[in-house]
Amino acid sequence: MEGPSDAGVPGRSAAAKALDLARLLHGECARLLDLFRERESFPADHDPEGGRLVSLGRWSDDMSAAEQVWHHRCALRKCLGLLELLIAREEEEEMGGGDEGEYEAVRRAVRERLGHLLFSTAALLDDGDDVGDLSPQHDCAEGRDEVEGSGSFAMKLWMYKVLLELIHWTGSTSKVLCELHSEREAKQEQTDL
Amino acid sequence: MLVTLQVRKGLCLEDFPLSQAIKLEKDLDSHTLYIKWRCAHPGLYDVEIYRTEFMESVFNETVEARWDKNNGLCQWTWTSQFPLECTSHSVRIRSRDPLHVGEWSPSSITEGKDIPNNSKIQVYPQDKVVLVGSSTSFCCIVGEGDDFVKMMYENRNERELRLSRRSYAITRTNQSASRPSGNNVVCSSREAMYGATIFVGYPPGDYDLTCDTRDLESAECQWKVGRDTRLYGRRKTRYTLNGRYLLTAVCIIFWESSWILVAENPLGNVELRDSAQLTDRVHPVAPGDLKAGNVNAWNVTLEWTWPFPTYKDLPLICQVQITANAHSDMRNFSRPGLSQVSLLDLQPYETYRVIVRCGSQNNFWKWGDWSPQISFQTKMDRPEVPDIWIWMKSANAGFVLWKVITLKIYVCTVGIMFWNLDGGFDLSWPASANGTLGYVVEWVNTACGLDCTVDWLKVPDGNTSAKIPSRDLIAGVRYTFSLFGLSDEGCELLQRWHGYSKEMVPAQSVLNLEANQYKSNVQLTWGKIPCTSQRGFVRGYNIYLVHISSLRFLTNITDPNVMSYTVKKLSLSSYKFTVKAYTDAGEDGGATVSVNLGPYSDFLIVEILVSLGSMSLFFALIAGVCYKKRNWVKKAFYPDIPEPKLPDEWTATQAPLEVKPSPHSMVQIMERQWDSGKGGLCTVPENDEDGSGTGNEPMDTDSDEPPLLQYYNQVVSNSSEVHPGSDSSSSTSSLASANTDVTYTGIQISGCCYNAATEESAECPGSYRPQMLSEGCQEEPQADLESPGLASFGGYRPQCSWKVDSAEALSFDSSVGSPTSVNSTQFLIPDVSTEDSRNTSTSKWFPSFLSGKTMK
Repeated sequence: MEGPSDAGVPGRSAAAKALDLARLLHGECARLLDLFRERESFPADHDPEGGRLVSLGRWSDDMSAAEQVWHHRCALRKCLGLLELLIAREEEEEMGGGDEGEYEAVRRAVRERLGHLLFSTAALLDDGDDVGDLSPQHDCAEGRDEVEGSGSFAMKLWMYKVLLELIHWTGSTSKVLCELHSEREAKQEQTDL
Repeated sequence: MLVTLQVRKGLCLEDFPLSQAIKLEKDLDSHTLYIKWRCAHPGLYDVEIYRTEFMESVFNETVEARWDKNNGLCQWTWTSQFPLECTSHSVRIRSRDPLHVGEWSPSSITEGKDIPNNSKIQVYPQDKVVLVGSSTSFCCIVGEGDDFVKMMYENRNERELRLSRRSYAITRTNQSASRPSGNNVVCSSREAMYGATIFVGYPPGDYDLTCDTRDLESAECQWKVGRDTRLYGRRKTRYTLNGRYLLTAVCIIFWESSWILVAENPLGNVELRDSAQLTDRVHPVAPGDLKAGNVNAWNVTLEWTWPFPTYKDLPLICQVQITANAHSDMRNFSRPGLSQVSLLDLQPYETYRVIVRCGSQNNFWKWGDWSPQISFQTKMDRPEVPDIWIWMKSANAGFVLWKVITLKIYVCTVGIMFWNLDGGFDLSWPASANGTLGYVVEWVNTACGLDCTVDWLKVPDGNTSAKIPSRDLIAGVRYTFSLFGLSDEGCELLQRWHGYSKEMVPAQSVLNLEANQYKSNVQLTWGKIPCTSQRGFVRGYNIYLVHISSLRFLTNITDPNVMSYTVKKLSLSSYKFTVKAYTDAGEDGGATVSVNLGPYSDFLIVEILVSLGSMSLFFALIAGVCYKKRNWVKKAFYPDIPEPKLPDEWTATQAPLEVKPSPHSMVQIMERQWDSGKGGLCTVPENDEDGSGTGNEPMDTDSDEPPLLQYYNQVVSNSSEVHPGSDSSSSTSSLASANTDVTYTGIQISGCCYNAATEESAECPGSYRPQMLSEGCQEEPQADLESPGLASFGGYRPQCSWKVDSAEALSFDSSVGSPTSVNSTQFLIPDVSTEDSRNTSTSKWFPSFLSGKTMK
């Protein structure tokens, strides 16, 4: 496991590092979906319909960047839970045939890096004073882990959606982290002046 | 009457079955529809099934219904190609007998999933498991108001069949095994995407169930998994052993003496059985806590434990594998509950590695697992007295040899327990008075010269046998074994043997193989194989005749000292023979010799004699024919030359020409009498002034050879034709009064002819010059003509006189009136210097030669 804090590293802020991590994770989630589609011979031009599996409980555009990061972190926690459920179901059904291929390797990397991102963002929010009284234990997001319909294909569609959620929320987290990073840089510059 | 009416009424019920009487039940997994209706007895019925929405008939046949008298229902079963969820089906029936066809019943409908209530997109069947190679139909029911786009099986478009307003179907045939997560059928509509997964695999193929015991209480069963079923997760093979579910291919249950293993997956199951008594299936575990106790220089005690008390009374046989210096040895020990053994005959100060395993001594089933390896080092000890031997190379020289103690002793002592004597020597001999202190068996490579590796074995007193192990001997090498008796007196050679530890095929073929022909026989001879290449005792030789690609066995010579063989009565041809020496191990590669069998001398003589006889007979036949047909031959090859047409006074007389002789010389020309009338004789022009030199020569009158003369005459005749003027001038003055016999007696150098050709070319062309003159000697005759010595060439004179018969230079005074005979035994060669002369002579001379007759 990587060290939780990058505060000691000169030149790059914790927000910047979290942003890099989120962007990296976003790319890996996209790669994971490609591998899933390839494994299941799913057409690339047709995503499954339906709403989001993960949704934020409260959301307002007036939130600060830190608050948005906090809410996205909640969504990412739900995503991690869904991903772990996906992994458990895939292993139970031996969908990979028992061997670890590239899909399984990327899947493992996504899970670990998602954990790192959650840790990084938690540390990032702890260091700031702009989060207010939001607690990490607060039920800030909802996630649907039940599979609509029965059968293996419905399960695969649910997995497909989980991967789409991962892509969505890692991408969205990258954006809010970018805003947070900009805000803090600006604040740092003002302080320096 | 009433009863009868009721019965008839009961029968008539079947003519118009009520709609509610038709009951439809379906099995979605098997796409089966069970159609039931009330009936009084079995019979024939028309059944019609159609897809409800499109009223498209899918079945319309007369069937024989199965009747259940208990509930009074008739039943018939129909299986649909497509899942019954795909669309609604309507069924109607009517009764039929030979005389009557009933009315159609009202249709009964079994609803599909494409009814408006189910408005979402759906695909059927879901999670079906089928055999590899089978066919499966799928249908997609698009959402209400949506439009169908396509259906794909594993990302491959399939051609669809429309079943109803919203339902579309495809059929995939001959499916291959699916991926672990199953193959996907994806249906895309304009607004949605959904699908189904199908699993294609095989039923279980497990086999070979075997159960044994490790702890003498429970059974451990194993079996072999057959071909990969290609089914995973919840569809993979599940096992039960005697009714209990198993998680792995190895299971442990209480000993039950018989076992039934059932392997099952959605595609089928297989049942395996095994049975045995516990004592017959003991498979011991690995000895535990193995350790070496009481380690000494020459022995050690090994101890181990058993985890199960049941082993205490179990008769065990254990193997101890000892390894030191890359040599391994295995020792067996047996005892009930064996857990301690003593290893003897070890080498002092040596490190050993040891492992142990055991099996049941009674009803041995299989060896148990090896124990973990341990190692120990024996203690040091004083060395033994070295084993010394003196190998005498001569009377007063020898090698003092001794054996290295450590390894040799170890190998011998360890190995002797399980010695394999195959290939070794077992020697024995009678007791000798000279062996009071024992014996020594010495062996050495027979072919060895100096620096031989000598080995020996000391045999204690009282023993008269020895075993020489094969490991001390090299296969294919001949050894000389010498037995020495040891006594106080010293050492005495008692006996000597030769032998091979293991014979091999000769490394080399026989030497100098030769084949010699004797009449129609071929004798093969060869030399011995060198001793070092024999690699075994040569037992004999096999002779083969080589065919194109195979060897034909001719004979086997069992005496190795016989090194020749005669192959008899061969026809004239080429042969190849192969000779192979053989030992007990087999034949060598063989030496091959070729021989081309030619005609032998007797046959040659007979052949020559026959040829000569045939030729003689042939020539005799030709001669006879020629003789009988001589007239024809003469006409064919030598026709008569027409007589010259002469004036009457010439033709009036047939007498020989009378030439008026020169007053000084006469040349007598002889010819056969019968030729005289042919007019072939020409006059030779004479000149009174010519031949003065020649007329003095003595004339040779001994020869009367007509051919030569005729030849001469012929040329004269030719000459006369070319120069008629000169002929006429001379004819009147030559032959009439003087006959001259011209006989050549040797090759004459005709200088005068040269003169005639050069100085009197007007007369010489066409004339004959009997003997050629080389260019080098052309000057001499001219000189000789004037020289006195020329007179001695009496035989030449006539020619010269003739050649220049019209020349002024010669005078015939001295020969006038005297006959002259010139005898020549030499061949008369025409002069080639003159073209006319050559042409003339060759055209006439050759037939003359063939005929042997006078030319005319």
